[in-house]
Amino acid sequence: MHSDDETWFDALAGHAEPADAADAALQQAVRRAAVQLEDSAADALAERRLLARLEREGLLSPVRPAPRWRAPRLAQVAVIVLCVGVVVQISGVLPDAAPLRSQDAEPVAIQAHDSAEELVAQSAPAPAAEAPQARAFSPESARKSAAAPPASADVAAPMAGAMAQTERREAFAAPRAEPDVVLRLNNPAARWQELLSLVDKHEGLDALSRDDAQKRLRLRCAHRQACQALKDWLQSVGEAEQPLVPGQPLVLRLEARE
Amino acid sequence: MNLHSDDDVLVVALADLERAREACVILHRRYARRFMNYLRRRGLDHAAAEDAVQDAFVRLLQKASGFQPQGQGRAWIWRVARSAWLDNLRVSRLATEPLQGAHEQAAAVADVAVTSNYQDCVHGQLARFSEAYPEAGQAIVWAAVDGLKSTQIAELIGRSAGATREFLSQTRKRLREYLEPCLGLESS
Repeated sequence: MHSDDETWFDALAGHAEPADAADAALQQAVRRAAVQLEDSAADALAERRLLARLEREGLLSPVRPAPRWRAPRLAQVAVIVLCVGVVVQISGVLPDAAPLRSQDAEPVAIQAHDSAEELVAQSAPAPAAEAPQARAFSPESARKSAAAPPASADVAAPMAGAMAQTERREAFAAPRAEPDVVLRLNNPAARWQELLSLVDKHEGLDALSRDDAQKRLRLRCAHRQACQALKDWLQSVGEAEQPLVPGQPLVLRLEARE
Repeated sequence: MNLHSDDDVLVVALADLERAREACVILHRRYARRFMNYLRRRGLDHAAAEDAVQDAFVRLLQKASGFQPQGQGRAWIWRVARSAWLDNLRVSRLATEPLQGAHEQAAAVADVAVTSNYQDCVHGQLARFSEAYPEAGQAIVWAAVDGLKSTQIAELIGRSAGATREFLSQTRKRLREYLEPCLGLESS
């Protein structure tokens, strides 16, 4: 059973009705005064001391410092450095960029081209349809220039440089070049003539480039019938598995069977 | 995470390692100054009171895992804090304070004349009352500010039911004596 005093306290706490209006007014004034007395302004220094003690006693896990890259100033510097780097890379103003593109790059690129030919020649025939995108990006003119003898030393150097750049771009754009389909035959000379004759007389079979010495022919069948004709000839020389796709170039190279 | 809702939520968060820091900071901002006031009224100097406040928060964190949220977080906070102070014997007067003010009522009444504002008068007299009777003043604060019921106040002051009833009665009587000079200002 609550006494009057307990009820008065409960009314002061807001859990009961005041006895009368005068009590209500007094309690309201006391509440305001008590709140003023209990000014709870935070003491930042005391707060830091408390947190430090709680961390020491293992009651709070220490705060990990934010990673440095989160600092606004460092982030700004990082962005500026990145932007400058991108601009320099795009514009090619690096001091060592020029010699790489003019002198040193030429033999490297030509050597790479020749090596690729050798590697392809020594490897087993790969399906021609495996890298259709690579074929679409192949610079045919550059290959013809490479196969033809240089007109003169003055012309050859810049041309080789241009080829080197073309080949370098090709290497990035189409990492896999058109593989040669190497046909090892008992009589490659006769078959070479046979192939040339087939291409010559059959409409839709186009010779894109030709190297008689190597017996290497880059050709393309324009439509299904032309492809079928070429496929028939390939079957006749024992290369029945070679897939043909209309419109896609194919490189055939004839070699003597060992 | 919004921890500013009520004390129950804050105390529960104290037991959660991921939220304990945030809850502790909020509780400190809410209670540290009040703890200081309470302790200073009992004669502790600033440094001793600050140490005692830290002791209270250490105890709060240690005990938080056993807290059952039933809407009495505020009373629980005061109880745990007071328990920490009693255990450390830093404020041995807490439980034994007689309800006899160190200052005479006449002195308190004499100062009232300097203010003619009712609320200012109540504020000044309540401050004097709390200074003269710290435990009684704290009981007023617990009721008026924290909204604690008389039963919760009884639990906090650690007295028997009969002693608490007498304590509350005496507190109300003394407070009324202190506020008597202000009552005439209310109508004006």
